[in-house]
Amino acid sequence: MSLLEVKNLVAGYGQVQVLHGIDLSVNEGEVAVVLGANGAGKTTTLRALTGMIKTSGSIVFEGEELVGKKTDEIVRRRIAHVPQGRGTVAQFTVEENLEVGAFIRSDKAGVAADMQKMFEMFPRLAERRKQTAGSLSGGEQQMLAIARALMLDPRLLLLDEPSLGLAPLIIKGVFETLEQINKEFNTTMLVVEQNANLALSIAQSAFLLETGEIVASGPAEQIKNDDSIRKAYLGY
Amino acid sequence: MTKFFQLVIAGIEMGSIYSMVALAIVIIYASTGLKNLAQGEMAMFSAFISWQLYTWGLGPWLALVLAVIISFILGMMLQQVVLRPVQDSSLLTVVIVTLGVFLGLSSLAGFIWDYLIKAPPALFPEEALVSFGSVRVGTPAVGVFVVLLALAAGLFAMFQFTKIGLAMRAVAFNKETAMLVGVRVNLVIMVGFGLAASLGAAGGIFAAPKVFLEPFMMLTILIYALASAAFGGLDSPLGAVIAGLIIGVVENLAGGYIGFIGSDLKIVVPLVIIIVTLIFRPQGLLGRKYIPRV
Amino acid sequence: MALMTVVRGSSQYRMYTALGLGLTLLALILLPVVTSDFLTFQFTMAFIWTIAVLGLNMLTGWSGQITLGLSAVFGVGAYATVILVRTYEWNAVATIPVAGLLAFVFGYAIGVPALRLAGLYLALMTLAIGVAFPKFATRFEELTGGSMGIQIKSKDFPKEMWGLSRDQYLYFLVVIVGIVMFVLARNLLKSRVGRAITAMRDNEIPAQTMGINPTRYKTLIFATSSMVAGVAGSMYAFVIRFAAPNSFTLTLSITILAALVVGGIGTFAGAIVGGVFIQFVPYYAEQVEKSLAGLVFGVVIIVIMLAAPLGFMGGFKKARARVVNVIDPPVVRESAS
Repeated sequence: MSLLEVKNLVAGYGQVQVLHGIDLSVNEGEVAVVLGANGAGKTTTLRALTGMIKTSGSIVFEGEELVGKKTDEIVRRRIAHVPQGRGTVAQFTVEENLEVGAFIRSDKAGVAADMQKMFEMFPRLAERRKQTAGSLSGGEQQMLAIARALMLDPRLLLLDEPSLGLAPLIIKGVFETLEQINKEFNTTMLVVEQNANLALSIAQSAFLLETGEIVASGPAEQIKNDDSIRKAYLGY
Repeated sequence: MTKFFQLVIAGIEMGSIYSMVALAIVIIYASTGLKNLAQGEMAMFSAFISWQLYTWGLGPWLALVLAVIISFILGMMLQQVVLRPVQDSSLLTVVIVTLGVFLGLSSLAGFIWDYLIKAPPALFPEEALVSFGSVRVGTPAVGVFVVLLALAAGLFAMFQFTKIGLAMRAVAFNKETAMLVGVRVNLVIMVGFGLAASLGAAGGIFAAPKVFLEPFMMLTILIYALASAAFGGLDSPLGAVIAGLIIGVVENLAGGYIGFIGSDLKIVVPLVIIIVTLIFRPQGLLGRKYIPRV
Repeated sequence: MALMTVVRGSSQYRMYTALGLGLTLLALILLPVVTSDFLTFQFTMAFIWTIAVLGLNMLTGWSGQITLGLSAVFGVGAYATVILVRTYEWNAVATIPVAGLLAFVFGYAIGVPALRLAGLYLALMTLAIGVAFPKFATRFEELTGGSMGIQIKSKDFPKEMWGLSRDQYLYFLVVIVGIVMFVLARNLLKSRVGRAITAMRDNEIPAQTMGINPTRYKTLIFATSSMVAGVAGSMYAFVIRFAAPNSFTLTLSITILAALVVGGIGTFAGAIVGGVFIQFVPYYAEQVEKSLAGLVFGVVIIVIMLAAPLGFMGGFKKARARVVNVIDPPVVRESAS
């Protein structure tokens, strides 16, 4: 069942157009990845989906058109976005970050329960719950950012290059956690990444983005095993 | 020693007023990065509104409360009409707009209420509240100080324990993340501006009986308030409160004991404090943000 | 579509520019001849403001820095002339360079600490200086005459000279000084210093990597702009022949800023437009209502920043572009041989 259906999405900054009409779709419960090099338009794609920049085309989420809607309206439809570079509030404590992640929710009991769940899933965060987010290590901040997004109880989780700036061992841990979240909570995810190998290992479907256009798409397994695509676009 | 204590008490009284206006400046700066140079004129305008309500028959405290509420609304409107259109423009543009507001409000007040000094109502009875020997602790001094503490406590409670407070802090620290958790950033900024306007209004209304109600009354107080905000740390409300009190006391002591300064040149004190703070410790006492330097 | 195309720097371009300048000069010279003494006086004041705007433009237009202390350096220049003429009986014209020098030094002294900080903090400090200056002027009574101010006796300025009335020869003095300042400013802009400053305005870090020391240049520009404002202040003393603390308040700084904004930030011609604007608008506005001028300025500043940030000259250039299309000369690449 298609949760997110993107057709002919055009987006950019001011005079510069970055996305030249891309098509994407994500099914409920699956992990989809968008792969591409620097400058391909990966971050722009996510920002377009959450209404942070001007877009044209069609973004249909759970049957509703999102193009033209403001960010807070989109977030209210339970789309959580973990931006590049951690997306936590450095001056807030770990706890406050989780609290603000559930900002739009009014079910106090559910929020408290979810916070408990987060601390169980990320024991390191539990240890540091009263520390400011800025004092955590890179990997811990990434975990916090993901936890913050999960506090929204999202129907769709968008992640922008979760591997950026992290040591390889930490990256592995992050992706393992993402896989775990997907399996346990059936959270639908759209991950944009440069690190193709790791991303493909947890995904069900993949899209290749190059200079603002989708040049290839299909089941992750297929993309992974297709030598010509790998050599041409993924560099290995 | 009497003189010393008398000066300190007077310093706490003026300092409380500086703190109130400094709080207004800090709140706007923390949530939008804008140093609102028109804050003083806004406060002056509010003081006039309060006076006007008083002349129409309202009691002084009722006039104050009503004027504060009106200022809240006017502050929000000002932000929406004048500042929001330029909030993504260069710093220069925004500051120039602020100065336009400064000039406009100053002249508008002169236009509506002319430049003759008015007599604002006394908010506190003039008798001494308590006396320690020959040291007279006036009721106004205690009163303004208590109001400041109440405002500061109220703000603290709001920021720490309410959802809007959480939202305001989130917007101040990381606008993007605030957006991504569903905070309506524009709304929060607007409310923040209204809040600042009402804090400034309180400062202006309490200042009126002391510095005489006329359109230029807040000019010097603005400098003291800016010095307090800078000295305390431009993004720290607590810093603003503490710094305001310190500056109030220091300027009075300097004026009383240093003959050269007398009562005319007391403005040297905040001037020096601004210069010294910005050069040696730009983040002030309690501030946190990164201060851009050449 | 443009009616014609002119290449910047070509002989055609230079001809049109010379024509424009020549006509302007002619108009300036003829003005006092064809108008009343009072109107001449008004224009003299307008050109004094023009010089002040020129000074502010160096700082705000070229380097994007905000200063609110212009009233202070203007006041320094004015007081210098008045004090030297009244108390020390100097020749009036000789005080002009002294006023400029004093203002330069004053500006440099402010600049050294202030320019280590960026934008808003500079505004803060210059705001404090702008507010403090009148207070200092009041305090140092023996020198400045305190709050009552001091006056130059009109006998020091003959009612007639070389067949011109006082209003007329003062007009020409201001125009000449103004032209000198314009030339100075233009040469400065085109010099290494000027190019460094404009390079830094847009992006300081690349400029630094090219070996430009930002602080030194910024301080120099700050001091020079103060000097120009000081000279304007000196001219003010010539024409008004009176200086008092209340003439040099923060409101003056903001008014000059308004003139800069109205004329067009960063432009030379805009300074004239701005100066004329702030001289004549209050004159007419105050006849309607005393405080209307300030309100008009405040509203004008806001409206222009919101709707037409490039001011009058911005609009003028756009209109001109419809008639004449000015293009840069094509880059000719030498072929390697």
